[in-house]
Amino acid sequence: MSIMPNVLSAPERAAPVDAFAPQSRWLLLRRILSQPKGVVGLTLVTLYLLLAIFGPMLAPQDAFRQNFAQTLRPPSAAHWFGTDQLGRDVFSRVLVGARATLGIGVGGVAVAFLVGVPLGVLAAWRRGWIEAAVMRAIDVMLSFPDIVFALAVVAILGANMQNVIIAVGIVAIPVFARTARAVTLSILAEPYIEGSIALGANPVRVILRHVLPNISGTLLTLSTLLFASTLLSASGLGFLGLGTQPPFPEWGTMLGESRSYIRSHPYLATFPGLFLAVSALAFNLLGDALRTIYDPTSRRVARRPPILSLLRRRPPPGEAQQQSAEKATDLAVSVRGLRIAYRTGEGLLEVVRGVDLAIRPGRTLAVVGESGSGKSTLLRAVGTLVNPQEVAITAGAIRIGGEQALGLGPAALRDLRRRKVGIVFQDAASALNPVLTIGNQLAEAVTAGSRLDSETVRQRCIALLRDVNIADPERRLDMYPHQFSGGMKQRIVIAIALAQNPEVLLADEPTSALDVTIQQQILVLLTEIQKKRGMAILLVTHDLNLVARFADDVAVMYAGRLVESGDVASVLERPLHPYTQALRASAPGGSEGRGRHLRTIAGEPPLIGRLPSGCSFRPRCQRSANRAECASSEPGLRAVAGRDVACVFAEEATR
Amino acid sequence: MFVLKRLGSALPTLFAVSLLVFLFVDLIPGDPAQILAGPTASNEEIESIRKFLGLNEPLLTRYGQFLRGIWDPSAATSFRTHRPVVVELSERLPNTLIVSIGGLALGLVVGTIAGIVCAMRPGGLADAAITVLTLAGISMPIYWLGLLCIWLFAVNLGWLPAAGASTPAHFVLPILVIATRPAAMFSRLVATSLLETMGKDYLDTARAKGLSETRVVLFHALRNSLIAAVSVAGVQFGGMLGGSVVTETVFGIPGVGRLLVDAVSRADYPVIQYAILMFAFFFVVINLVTDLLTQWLDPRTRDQERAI
Repeated sequence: MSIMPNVLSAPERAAPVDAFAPQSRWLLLRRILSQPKGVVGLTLVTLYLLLAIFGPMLAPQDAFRQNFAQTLRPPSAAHWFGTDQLGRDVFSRVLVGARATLGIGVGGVAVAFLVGVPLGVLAAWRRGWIEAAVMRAIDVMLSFPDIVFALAVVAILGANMQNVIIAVGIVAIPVFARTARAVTLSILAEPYIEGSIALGANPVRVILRHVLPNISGTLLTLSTLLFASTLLSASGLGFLGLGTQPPFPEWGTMLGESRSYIRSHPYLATFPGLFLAVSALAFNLLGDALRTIYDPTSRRVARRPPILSLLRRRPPPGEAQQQSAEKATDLAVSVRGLRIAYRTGEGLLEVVRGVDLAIRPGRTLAVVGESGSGKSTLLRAVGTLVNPQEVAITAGAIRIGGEQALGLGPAALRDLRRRKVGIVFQDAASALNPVLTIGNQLAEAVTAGSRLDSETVRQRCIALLRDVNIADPERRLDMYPHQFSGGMKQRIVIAIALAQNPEVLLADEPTSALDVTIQQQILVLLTEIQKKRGMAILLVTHDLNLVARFADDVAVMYAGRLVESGDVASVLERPLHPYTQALRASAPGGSEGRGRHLRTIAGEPPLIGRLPSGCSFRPRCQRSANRAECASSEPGLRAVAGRDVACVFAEEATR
Repeated sequence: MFVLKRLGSALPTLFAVSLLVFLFVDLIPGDPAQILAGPTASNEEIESIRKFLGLNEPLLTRYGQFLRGIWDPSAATSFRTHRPVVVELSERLPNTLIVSIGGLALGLVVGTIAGIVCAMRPGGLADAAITVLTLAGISMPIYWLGLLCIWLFAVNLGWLPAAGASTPAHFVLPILVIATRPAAMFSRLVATSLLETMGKDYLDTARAKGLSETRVVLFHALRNSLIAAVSVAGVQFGGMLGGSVVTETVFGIPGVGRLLVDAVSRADYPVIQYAILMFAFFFVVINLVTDLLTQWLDPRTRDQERAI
């Protein structure tokens, strides 16, 4: 019945300008028809509109002719939907009533649109008192439940079709005005619009040329959704006997008349109600389809649960069994031949393409690479935290503390995570639940998998906070994350990660969100804890200076593969792979000292799924220089000068 | 501080609302007394109606009189029954509140559960089924669903009474029917906001602790999603109150909504005015309460307030 709730979820923001908006009408049509709900919705809406136009002509009998010899007949060959209390043919009345019913909906939305949109655009454009007045008026109007407001309008103006249109139209004005204002405001803030205003462009022209085309998608969506609820509101008034007056047929009015006969002649209510419900459904479906097109945030990701999701239960194929068991158990982390792919609309997109890693207890391995190289996905996979609905592990093996981590059931997986893995994220602010106290979140980590009395838990939490050098831990337990500084939050995240004494700590750019002095403190803290507890650390970063200072081993990742790995001293002192060399040359404050020009890496990072043939670094590589070997096949890792490197010409760098 | 600010914005709204409702009679095109009296009325009759409505007094006096009617039974009487409007309203309010609150509560529970199911397995069979049901729920005319339910449960099966409000059983059907809309709205809202929350790092932090997925969703994700949902619940409650206009007609419940519809069709202006004022007052207060509740539930905003 009510208009507001349906629209609450409608986009109040404009889509990033033109990034998603269809360029032409035909494209829009194609996009609608590419969604099942769009096909059904658009087909039904078209049928209904045809019905509204041609319905009265198609009616087989006179919809107004009364026949007291044949009242309240059930459906038959002569009267498909039966006859009503005055002996009129219900089928004909439904067909004739389509025009009034849908007409009221169209009229109501038109009234709301023509008044609301200019008001909203004006408010956003002029700001100041106009905006204040419009917003206040909207507030007042929204203080009335909408159907009550419509009732009041009808009570003032009198019950007839025209006044119902005005009533439901007025009720929907605030929704249009508010949305138009919000969307216009966000578009006016776009740099190119601000630019043309600053250049003195005619304001009316700016609105017509830039603002209206950009908000049209949102308004189209809103109009379609509002049409459905306006239709229901208007027919509700008809149902109450306050809409179209007899003898003119309208579906809501017909339903209202059928109420008295629901006991004896239920089919009287069946057909008008069915037509009404399906029409509302049709417009809602179409509106939903439009929303998916114009509001990218409403698009749901992770929609495919293909057979591949079963892989997470089954050990992936091609597991590297050749790795000897005892050797694997010595390692804190062992990754063999790991391949990870994102599930996308176009199928699987490989982001990690066969990676081997090994970390011994007490050591730190840094994985280095550009953004998009797959390093964070790799880290999450090692932490068993990839979402199987979005990401598929297609091949390889992961062992943590000697235990197989892939293909476990939910309970075993939880147990493994709890005992062996701690994780620290880049952004401590988002790694802590904003609505729970620190004590709460710590206690959860402490008590997982065991039963402890509350005092023990509290003492353990306090001890953990002490371990990460937080002063006055007793008092901190009752505080919420937002009450801490960034560095403090990261310490708390580390404390949570340490709660179960993990064998491996995964750190995804743990310091890049912090300022330099705090970075140092956090890293020193991590190293101290590592020394004390002897755990392994897998550090993902793009900062080579950090690697040089804190890691023992380094693995350089490019386009989902390791291109060079070995101990930090040899790899960073004398990088052999051209990509590692380029990375080092582009890092500030490197070992060569000051006064050196920083170099950028030529070319663009590769697009996943569109890698070049042969070596994926080939297009950006100066060493390759159109050599046939580089284009023919992707080089594998091989041992050269005390590290593994994936370059056919690695030896050239040793000279 | 926020409380004061929010109150400060609610009071002018309430004032404007009362003014608008008060001016209702003056907005009627033509002379309301003439319309009420009918085309054949004599001048004396029209004059007595004018007097009854107080139309001859100055505007300010009439507004004072109008406000006095909120608590003073003698200040405003129904045009048809000649009983105090306040009494008419307060007799019927409990029925309206039972149906609205019951429907909202049921809708919230069902909708939240459905939303969780959708968000846990997006793209699954349950998600698809619930998505279809949700769309159907939003598109369903309440009055038609009501009629169908009366036909099925009251007429055919005879399980529940069809109309009236004399026993608790009378409220079952109305509550079930009226709950469809908030249930549909909520399942969408909860599903969307849960899916949004699902990508957050703090859920991975929770998973890394070794918590079960159920606990991660219910304790960590849902808590955050529901804060956003509270304000929508407020709007929904207002919608339920408005919807009572229709539901009470379908199920023959003597409530405020039914009273308003009758008053409109009989041009009983005092009853229309105070019934609308009451609906609006409820709506404003509910929005105020949910705003304050949302503010309080989120520790981030709760502290901002303290800090100021």
